[in-house]
Amino acid sequence: MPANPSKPPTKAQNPAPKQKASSASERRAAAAKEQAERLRRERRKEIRRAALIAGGAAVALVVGVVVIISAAGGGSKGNSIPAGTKTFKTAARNHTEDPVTYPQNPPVGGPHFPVWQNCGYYSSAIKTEMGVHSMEHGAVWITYRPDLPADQVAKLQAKADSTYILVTPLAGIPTPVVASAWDHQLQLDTATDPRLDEFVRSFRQGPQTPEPGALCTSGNGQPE
Amino acid sequence: MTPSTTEPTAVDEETAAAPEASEPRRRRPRWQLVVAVLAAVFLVEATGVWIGSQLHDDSPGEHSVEAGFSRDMSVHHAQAVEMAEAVRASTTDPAIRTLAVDIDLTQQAQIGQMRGWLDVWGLPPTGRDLAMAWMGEPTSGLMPGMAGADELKRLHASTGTSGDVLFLQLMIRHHQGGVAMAQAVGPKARPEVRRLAAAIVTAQQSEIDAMTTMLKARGAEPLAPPKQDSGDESMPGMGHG
Repeated sequence: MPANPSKPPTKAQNPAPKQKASSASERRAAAAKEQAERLRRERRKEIRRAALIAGGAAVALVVGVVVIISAAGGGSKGNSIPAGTKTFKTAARNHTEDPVTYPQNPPVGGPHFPVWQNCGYYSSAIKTEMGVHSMEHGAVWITYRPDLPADQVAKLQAKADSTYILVTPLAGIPTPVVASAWDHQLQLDTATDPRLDEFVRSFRQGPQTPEPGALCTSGNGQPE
Repeated sequence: MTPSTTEPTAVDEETAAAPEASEPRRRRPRWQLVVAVLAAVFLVEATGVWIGSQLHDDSPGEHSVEAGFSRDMSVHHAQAVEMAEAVRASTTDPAIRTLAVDIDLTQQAQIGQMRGWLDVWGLPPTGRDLAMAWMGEPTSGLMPGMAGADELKRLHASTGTSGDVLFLQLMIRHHQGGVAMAQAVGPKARPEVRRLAAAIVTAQQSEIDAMTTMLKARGAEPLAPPKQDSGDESMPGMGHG
């Protein structure tokens, strides 16, 4: 190797002494350090793999639960209750021949007369305590303000052609038309609001009926 | 750089270290395998449950024949129950009373049967279609054979033999309409629905015959049968007159 005059020859020509000094212990130390690094990398890889498997299992669990729940609920073709429907929780359902003061007007449930009002359309007010009994039998009770326009009254009357629909005028109700079923009520401004049909579909002989299978005929009154 | 004598040693040490580094790889923790397998099995099972539910969810839908028949016949039957109730308590004739009780309880029970089906099918008793849309004759009016509001008022107000006669006349016509509706349940409907429809046809046709005899014994005639838009002449008791 041509010696470089500007540099001391001993450095280039004597690399061995430094390495020689580090041969045994330093090499072992270096090797051990490398192995420790390798083991740490391996450990990190293991931890990542474990985390991936645990994470993947958690995702699989969530996906599987969602799939099963959606499959179980898939058979339900029920309707959505129309927006604005209020729900109540009536406790008392006893028969009484006394007048009852109900918290809501029209009422949504409570103590009632022993005889129900026959379903159908009426142009005069009925005994509210009988209307409540009709709702206990699954009727939807549609009340309208006495000054509701005739064409809207006719629309309500047409709905009463079906069974388990009671249509009567009632003074003092909060909106021109109010639809009630046991423990449910929907206030409407017109008889043509599409939510009225949805209310009927949700509650006529619906799941809220305290006495499923009961009649809305053979009670009191002759619908028009 | 010239290869130093230390390099072979370093390489040896590396190779010596290498097998130890790869041992943890071969010793993969068992729990990871178990968890991975369980997760995979669970996913497969969940998918199977979903597929099964899609295949087995063949319950009648909103616009099916079964749903339409169950809903409409429940309303139709309910009027028969009302008419039978109207005469049952007021009649003085034991034969009429027995007939009324029979019709009353039988048809009320059948209403229960049909409502139970709708419940199981997840359908409300109120359909979105017009009445009889399921049999190709959608109507917003009364179903075949049903009494009008005035006829019902008269029935509720009547007593004695005239009440019995009106009851028989209205119920014969009511049965004729019911039979026509039950006959409209085609061969593709579910077997339990077809069974009930067939039972209604048989029983009500027989009752039509019995009631017609009772009516004539009281010196009266049946009313005109319900109009049939389809003009099906094959239906018994459906003479055009």
